[in-house]
Amino acid sequence: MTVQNPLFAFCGRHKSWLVPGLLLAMSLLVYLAGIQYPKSMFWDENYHVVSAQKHVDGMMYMEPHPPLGKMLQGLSEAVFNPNESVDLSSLLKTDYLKGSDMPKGMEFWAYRLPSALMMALSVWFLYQILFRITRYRPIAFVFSLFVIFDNAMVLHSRAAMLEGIQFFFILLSIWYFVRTVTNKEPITLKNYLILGVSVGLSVATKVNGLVLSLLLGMLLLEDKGLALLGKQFLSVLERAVLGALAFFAGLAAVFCLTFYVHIGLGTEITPGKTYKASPEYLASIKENGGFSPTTFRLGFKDHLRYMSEYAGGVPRLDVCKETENGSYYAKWPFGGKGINYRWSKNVVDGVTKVSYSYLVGNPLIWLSVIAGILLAIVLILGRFVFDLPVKDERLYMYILYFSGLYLSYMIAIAQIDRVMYLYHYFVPLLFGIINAALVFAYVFKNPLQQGSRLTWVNLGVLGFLVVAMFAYFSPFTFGIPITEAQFELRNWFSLWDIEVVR
Amino acid sequence: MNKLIQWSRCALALTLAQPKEVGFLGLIVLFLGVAIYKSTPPMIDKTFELHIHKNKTAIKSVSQERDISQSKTVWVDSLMLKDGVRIMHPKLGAIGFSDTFFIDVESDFKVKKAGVYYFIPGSDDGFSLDVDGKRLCAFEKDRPYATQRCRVELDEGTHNFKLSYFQGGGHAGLTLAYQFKGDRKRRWMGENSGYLSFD
Repeated sequence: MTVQNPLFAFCGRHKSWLVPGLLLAMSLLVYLAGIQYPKSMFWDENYHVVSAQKHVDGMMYMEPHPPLGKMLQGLSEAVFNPNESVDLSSLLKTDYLKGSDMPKGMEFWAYRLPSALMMALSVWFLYQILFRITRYRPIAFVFSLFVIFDNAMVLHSRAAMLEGIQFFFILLSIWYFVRTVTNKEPITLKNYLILGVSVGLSVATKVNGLVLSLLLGMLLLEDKGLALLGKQFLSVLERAVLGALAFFAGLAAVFCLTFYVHIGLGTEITPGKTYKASPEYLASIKENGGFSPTTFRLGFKDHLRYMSEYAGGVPRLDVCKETENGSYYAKWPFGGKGINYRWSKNVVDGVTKVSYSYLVGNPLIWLSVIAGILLAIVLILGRFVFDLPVKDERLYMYILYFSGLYLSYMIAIAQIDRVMYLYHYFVPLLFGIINAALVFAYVFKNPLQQGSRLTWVNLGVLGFLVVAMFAYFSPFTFGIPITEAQFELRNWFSLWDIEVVR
Repeated sequence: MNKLIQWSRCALALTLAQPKEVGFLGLIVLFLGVAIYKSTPPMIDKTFELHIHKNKTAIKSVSQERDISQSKTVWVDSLMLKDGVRIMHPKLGAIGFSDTFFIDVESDFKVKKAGVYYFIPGSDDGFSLDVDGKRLCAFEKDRPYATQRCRVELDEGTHNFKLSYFQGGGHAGLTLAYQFKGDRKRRWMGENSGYLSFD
């Protein structure tokens, strides 16, 4: 008779919450520790902080992005109020706050908190998604590390940006889809509606969340796939129409409600700063108040027109421009082009060191994602072109879904003329991470079933290296001062197009 | 030796039994190899010591009075410091400051075969080249990258050269080649040959 170690026995009994709990602890530490630094704004923070403050002060303003992200940033600032003793009135007079106009002693952590916190919490959803599909905790654990230890995502989401908030809603939507499908309960119109609501939250943060509308097709396929094969077209058509109605009703409801609150709260108008607001909208704010249906109808139209006109005015990518930070979408999967968000130079004991906030991805994660996508394409072609048998139908379908989401996003992006940046790749990167985990589970299905020790070793080494790579590139993420030589040692690929500050 | 053979057999047996797992491990090892290679400081011969000086004011001429704010030294193996429109060493990467700086390099070299030599400086912006303390050629002001061919007769034995360069702003590049009269091949300074050596 063997006596089991009580600690192991405890861990074994409680692994269902211990494993995601450990992930959450790591995630919260990586994303939240020191978000008060840097003590200045960078990249789009100069826009978003100003917009968030306008929510706090009830100002009417218009922006190219839907308002949910900035509303949450404003809410965080209003709740924690770390700038209580700081005069923030200069933020209300502009849409872009220059560093030189920044109020003295201003704190940014409350504006940054929603993005960082929601990004950290989204790891829980990723873990649940992967575990529900693969049924292997170690796989779900290791591939969840990809979101915690990707340098680019960490740098970007620890700032007052919109992506961290959006990723939470994206992973929430995918988790809800996977949960619905794996629950073994009949799929109802309520599921379509709730999925639409969660996708709506993502779209209300950034419009590119619309790619998640593909989840509707995926849910429909899971719901009525067998009926479709059985040629029960009427039943499929009926569910498609009703499901789409429920889904888009949920999506539209959230989108409109967000704008309703945004318009309702924005009743203060800075003289001479009315954006594209029509005289009727401005008059309605004064006469009927922000929350009146008339003000909403007029304001909603004006806000959408502003978003559309702003998008039309964004310049195209100009690779000949020396200061161009934008990049061609085909370079993104390989990490190009890195963006130097901010830097500061210091000379200590005669040695010049520079602190960077450089958008550079964890190369192991990004290469794993592209490898996963290539393998998924091969797998899919193998079935449809070469009639190769599929060893796990369920896993195969999920690989089809997530590689499909990745490719759909990239194809859609390829059609956009305006300048785009490396962080626009984060959404497909997320799909790619899920896909990579599923491809791993598919490729090693038999060894996993047989308990192959080497497969677990491989997985462990992969996880360890992901963390090690993150640590190696962390000077770019956390602004740890480095010399020119140390920078060059991290400048691995010319495709990244990153340059040392000299 | 026997152990090595035994290990090889084991590895082969494992590969045949679990090809996918070994393949995955191989990919991880490959990545690790690339990571270590990329993260290892480049090994180059320390042939020329470049003295790089950041100037406080705009530079219009290579011989203007200097107002240095910051200096650094970099060792390179050859004077081929150009990649596209930047001052770059093939292994060390970017060299210098962003703009407005001087580079001075002075070194001895050994002439193995007496005769007429051509030194071919290339610069964006200006330069001056002295051999054995005498001005051989120069382009004082700024310009796009261009080369000059400067003739000098050298005896066998040790000689000395001094190259000064400035980068005002915009595109940059610095090269210095040599050629023995009668031999069509040009070589970068730092590259040993039957004519010159830099050891």
